[in-house]
Amino acid sequence: MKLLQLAALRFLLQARWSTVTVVVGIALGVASVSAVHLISTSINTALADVTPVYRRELSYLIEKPDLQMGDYFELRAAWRRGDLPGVTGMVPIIEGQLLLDDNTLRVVGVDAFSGLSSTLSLAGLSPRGVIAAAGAIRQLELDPDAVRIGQPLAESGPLAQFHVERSLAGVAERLLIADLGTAQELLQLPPGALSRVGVQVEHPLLQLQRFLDRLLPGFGAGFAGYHWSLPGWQVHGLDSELPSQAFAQSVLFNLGALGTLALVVSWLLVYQVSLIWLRRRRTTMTMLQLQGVTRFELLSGYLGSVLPLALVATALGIVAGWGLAHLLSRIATAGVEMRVGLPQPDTWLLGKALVSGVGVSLAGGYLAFRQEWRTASAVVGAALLWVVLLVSAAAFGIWYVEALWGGFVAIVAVSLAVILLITPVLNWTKTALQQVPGLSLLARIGVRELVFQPRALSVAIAALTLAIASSMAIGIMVDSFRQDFTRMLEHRLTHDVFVRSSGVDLSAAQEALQGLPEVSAVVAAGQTRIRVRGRPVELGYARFDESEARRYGARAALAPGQALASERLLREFGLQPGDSVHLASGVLDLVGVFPGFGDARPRLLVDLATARQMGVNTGFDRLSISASATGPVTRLLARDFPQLQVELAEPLRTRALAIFDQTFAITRALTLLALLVACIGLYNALLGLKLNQQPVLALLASMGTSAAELRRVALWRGLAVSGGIAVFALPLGLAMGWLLCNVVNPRAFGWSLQLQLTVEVIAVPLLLGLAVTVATSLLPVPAEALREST
Amino acid sequence: MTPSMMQRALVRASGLYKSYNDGGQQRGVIADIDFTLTAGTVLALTGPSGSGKSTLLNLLAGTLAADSGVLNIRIADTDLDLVTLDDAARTRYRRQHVGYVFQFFNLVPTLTVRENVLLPLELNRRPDLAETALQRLTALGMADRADDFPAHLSGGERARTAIARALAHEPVLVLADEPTGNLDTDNAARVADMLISHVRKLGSGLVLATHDESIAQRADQILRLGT
Repeated sequence: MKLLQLAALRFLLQARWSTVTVVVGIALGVASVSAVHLISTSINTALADVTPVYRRELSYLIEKPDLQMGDYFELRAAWRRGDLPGVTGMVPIIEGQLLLDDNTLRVVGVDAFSGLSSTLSLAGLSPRGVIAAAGAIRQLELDPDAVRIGQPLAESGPLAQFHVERSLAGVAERLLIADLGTAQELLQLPPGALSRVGVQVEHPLLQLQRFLDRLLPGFGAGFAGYHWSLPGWQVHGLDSELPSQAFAQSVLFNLGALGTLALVVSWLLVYQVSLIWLRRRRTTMTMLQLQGVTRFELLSGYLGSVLPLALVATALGIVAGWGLAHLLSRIATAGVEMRVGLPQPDTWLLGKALVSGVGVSLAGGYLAFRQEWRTASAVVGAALLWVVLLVSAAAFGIWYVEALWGGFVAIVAVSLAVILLITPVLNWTKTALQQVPGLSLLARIGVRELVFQPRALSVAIAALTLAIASSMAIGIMVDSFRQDFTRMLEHRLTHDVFVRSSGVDLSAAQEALQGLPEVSAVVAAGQTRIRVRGRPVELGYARFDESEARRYGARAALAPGQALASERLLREFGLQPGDSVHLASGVLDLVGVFPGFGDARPRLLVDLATARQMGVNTGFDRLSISASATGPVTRLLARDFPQLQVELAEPLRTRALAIFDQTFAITRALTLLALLVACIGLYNALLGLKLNQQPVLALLASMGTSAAELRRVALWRGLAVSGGIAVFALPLGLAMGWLLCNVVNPRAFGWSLQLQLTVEVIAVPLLLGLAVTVATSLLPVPAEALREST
Repeated sequence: MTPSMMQRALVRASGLYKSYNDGGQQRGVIADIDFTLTAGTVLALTGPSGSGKSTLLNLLAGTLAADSGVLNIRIADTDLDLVTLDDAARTRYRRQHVGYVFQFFNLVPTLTVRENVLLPLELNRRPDLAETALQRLTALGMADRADDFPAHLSGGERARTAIARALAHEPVLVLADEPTGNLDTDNAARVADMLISHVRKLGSGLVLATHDESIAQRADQILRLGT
């Protein structure tokens, strides 16, 4: 080890107290990143588990009316000829429902030899053999540990000739997977019938999205994405097929951002403590410079001494992250029937942890080193210039850039601008404080420590400001999201049973359901794809009487020529309510807007009559049923319309709210972690300040100041730092909250959140941060730290 | 010493002894110290480094307690026995009756010159003395620097601020530990003159520790330690 590095390392080992706090801070930052990675991987795995195996590798599902195997073979031939660039695989699919002892099972048939590796697992099924998902095994009342080849689906009847050959653990859906022929036979479909075709598409944008998702979970979900289309076919993204996955991605995005927050705060901690260390070593380093040591050699020596600390902290962080992930998983799944198994540490985890721990340490150390050698005037001048540039960047991100990254740029720019303002504002306060009347001199001593040592404190204040503001902003977003989410559930789940079909005419089912005494209303709706200005838009139609229109926020029934637009449509087309949409088939007046939570595409809703006027083939593909009892409804559907997919409202609502609440329990825990790291940073900064203040305290003691009065000086100092933090954190928190609700959410997910400002959401993080600051200020200087400073 | 002087004696020290624990052994720093200081006079403490000047000043300030001997301070016709006073009483005594000028002046860096001077008055709740204290600051030539912070002052200006602060609450006893040690010869003489003249004017007693023989010669009496 070089002598310069050795000297620096020995200094850090002598300054044990601050070194330990830095290692803990970095470890917590790494732990946060590691925990988020593990939880995200586990959620992704859980999502993959509940995703039927045949869909895992698919990018899109395509369909057309009266789809037959012949259509599929034509399509496959076109692909093999090279007429479908980007397509890397396709698989024919049959879907339907099977009635078994008054219960329904979903049957899916796929071609095992279509060429996708995931469907190959279906190969080798014997004739009339099926794979039963865990949900189906429960439904069939089979012993999950004793599922074996040959166990029949039923004791007698036509189903007795089919048998369960394998089980599929983890998938809670009541699902049977079989080969195409077996599925056709099970569902009593004519030979050659087909429900849809799954297509796998590769594109550089999709690859980039996958990479970013691994790097920052959920990040790729924020991109506009790649729209693939196929003339003559209806193309559905997997996200529209599996809306729970889209929601999960938005949750992962939150977790990823929060995991990074603790890391950013720990970087500020390293920076802060490095400044303190370097100042204490400044005399030695100046002496070394006089002896001919270059600044680069000093920097290398310093960073070389920080590196071992970073490696130790990273190792501790990975271990702590593992424990944290377990803890958070338990918190998140408490009371919810969900089994979350954490994955084994992988290369991604080790790489992210190492880059995070070493990266923040070296970057923090390097920037502190540069800062220590700068002149104060240059720092202030540069800071103000940067603030102007950052505010411009934020404005650019909000109003000029329409993509999601603009929202991120705005958040980062606003945060940095506020952070950079801290030192100049503290300097300005130095003179302004002289004008404050009525402040006792002891109070002034306490308060002015803040403004006389701006460089010693500003980074710690920045870290805590960032943590409190983020906590506030996340709280605002979660509160707003929950209110809107509840509203969405009320809108979407007004009815009791939901039926979907893929290509089957629903009029017979509608008629049959209306004949049931338990059914009070059946609303038929359909959806088709139209083009607005050449871009695909989903057009939904139903009988939009007053009550149906109210579900989407309209005040009256939709008249002919009137339409409701989703927020995503208005944003993507630059329209406002009151504008008109010109189509080849006519003009639609936009009379209202609805959030469109979970919509993957822009959507218009019109009355059935309007759709017919537009020349749309108004077949229905969904029914919403209000019924006093759901049992007769589901039984009828399973018996007479086995190909329909049926879902009940109440389990959906309960599950959605439970997952929502538990998910944000993790969010709160991660925010607290960032706050904890920030508090460690502030403790370090205040400790340094108190050590610097020892001569003044000794002087005051020599003048007869009592211990109580000295504590009052400390209290004033704590209150001053708290006040400073509040001044910066409050506007930053509100700004970040506004950006999350009104810029990031609409761009990432297509909907805006109505900003909900509650006293609790604003006050709790502020008071928590302030209480910690005051308590830290009042804590006595540890004897160990006093010895280190002498 | 005449009986009338005895009556006016401000400080009376007799047989003072103070030792420190040095690696398990008690080491006497000052021993058999006897002196009397009357109001309005100056006592200079001289002696080599380690002879106990600072220790004696600390005993007089009440920040240390003597191991044995007598150390009485006459305040309003009452003798305070600093050897037997408890910590809290010594703190009260120091706050109300002692002014201190340090070698490095030890101004509070976060208070302006004016605020530094007013600090003892705030601690003693004596706002009535503020006008006099600020007049003294003007008399010391610091009126135009009253709103500056110590970091912007020269050594001489810091010394004058420290004198003004030490006298602000009109203490009965002023202690000065090498107050000219960090000043050039001209400044040192000027500061010493200012300190002595203002203390005399106030009628307080001044105990001045110094290495500078020319400064010591301005005192009414000299106590040579370590000889």
